[in-house]
Amino acid sequence: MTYTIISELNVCNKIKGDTITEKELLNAGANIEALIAGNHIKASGGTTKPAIQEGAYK
Amino acid sequence: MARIVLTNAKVTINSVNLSDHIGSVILSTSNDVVDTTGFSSTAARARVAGLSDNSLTLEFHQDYATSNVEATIFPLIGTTTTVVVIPVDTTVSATNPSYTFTALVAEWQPLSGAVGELATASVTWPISGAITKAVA
Repeated sequence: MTYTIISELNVCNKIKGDTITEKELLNAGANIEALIAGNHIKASGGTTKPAIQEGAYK
Repeated sequence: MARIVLTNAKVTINSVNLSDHIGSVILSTSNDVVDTTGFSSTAARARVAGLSDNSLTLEFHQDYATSNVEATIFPLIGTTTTVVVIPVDTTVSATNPSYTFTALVAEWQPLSGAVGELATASVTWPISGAITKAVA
């Protein structure tokens, strides 16, 4: 799982637009939910919800 | 050994560098004093150190902008968070050590100030566990 820095402030010594891995955040002792709530980071790559194959039961 | 005037201290809370919105920082550590005095000819109390009790006091300059002070701290209320304090925002060394610890965000002041004054938030957070000092 990777995240993109969207904060104007440095997060884990990274700046806006940089990407950061979940492992890096956890190693730094970061509370990821709080960083997302504070608009510091957002999940990269859009939704992680698996695509539903056409014709499959929903 | 040079004296130091604090101008560029670094305070990182939950991995977010909030230094430019913090006007004061106090990292305190103390130990309980446990009396071990027994009968002796010295006629003086003897003591040993007990549990340590550490805390962090900060004065924030309040800012409600996106991903700034309020947005960073409010989601942390009631939780523990990693804090790193460095005297000067440059390379950590023996003469510029870093202090890392887990603080309990036990209080917060979303709004504090008087007319005509800077909105600030003064907090003292107890530290859970030990303070780790690094010199490299």
